Amino acid sequence: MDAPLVRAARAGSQAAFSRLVERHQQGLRGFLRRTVGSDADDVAQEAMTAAWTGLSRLRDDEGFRSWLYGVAWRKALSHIRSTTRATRRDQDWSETLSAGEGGLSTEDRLALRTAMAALPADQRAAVALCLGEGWSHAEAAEALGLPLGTIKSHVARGRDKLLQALGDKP
Amino acid sequence: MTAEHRLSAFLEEARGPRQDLAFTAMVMRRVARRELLARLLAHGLIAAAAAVALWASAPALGAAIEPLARSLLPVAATLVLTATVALVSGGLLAGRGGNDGRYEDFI
Repeated sequence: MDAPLVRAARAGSQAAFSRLVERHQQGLRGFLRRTVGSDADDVAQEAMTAAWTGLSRLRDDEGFRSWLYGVAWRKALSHIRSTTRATRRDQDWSETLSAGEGGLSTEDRLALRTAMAALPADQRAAVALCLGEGWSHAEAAEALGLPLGTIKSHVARGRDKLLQALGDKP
Repeated sequence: MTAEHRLSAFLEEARGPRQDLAFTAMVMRRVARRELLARLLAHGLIAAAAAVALWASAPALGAAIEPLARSLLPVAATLVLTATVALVSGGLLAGRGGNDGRYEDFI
């Protein structure tokens, strides 16, 4: 689906790359909001710019989405590892969710926010991709560069922790 | 609302708009800036390399070009004289035609 646009973009077409950005911005930003917080858009922009520069390194044109998320995840990891930003992330994450309209109670949102922030980074990313974006375990494994078994256990454990935060016993 | 539904709703909240032209424009502006910087860097490197090459070969080039320049001197002088005469006579003829340069005179 992405292959013709990827080929055109690799040949230098900024219009084609712009279509790719339009196509993937919603999912990528959603994923990053769940893993990084409100700096998600900055990380998404950095990732997409890096993707433009590194398009020649993409081997499978149809695998653009996984590859793009992989680039974004590496950017997100370096962002998360910055301790000064981590404090800010938690505050912003709270603000981002408070502004949402998911029909959730404030208590639920707060509990889930705390539980999500407490998940290890890899587990949070696996949950965000598989439960938030509806990706298969294999797709998430490819994008995050983790073994399939690890992704499966990350998703199961992460889901259990989040449900526990809602007072639900797994 | 079950815990599963509440979890799904929570994860769904993070999704932004399906189309966001402002975001796309920001990304494309970054891409364009990066392209411009890459091009400037490439051209700068080429110019620097050419300058170094010219500087290094200047004595050899000078020795090679000097005899040629001497032999072409009469031809160059003739060309300059012809061009000057053509320009001056062309200007005089235009002045006699009474054209004061207004737009209507050219229609």
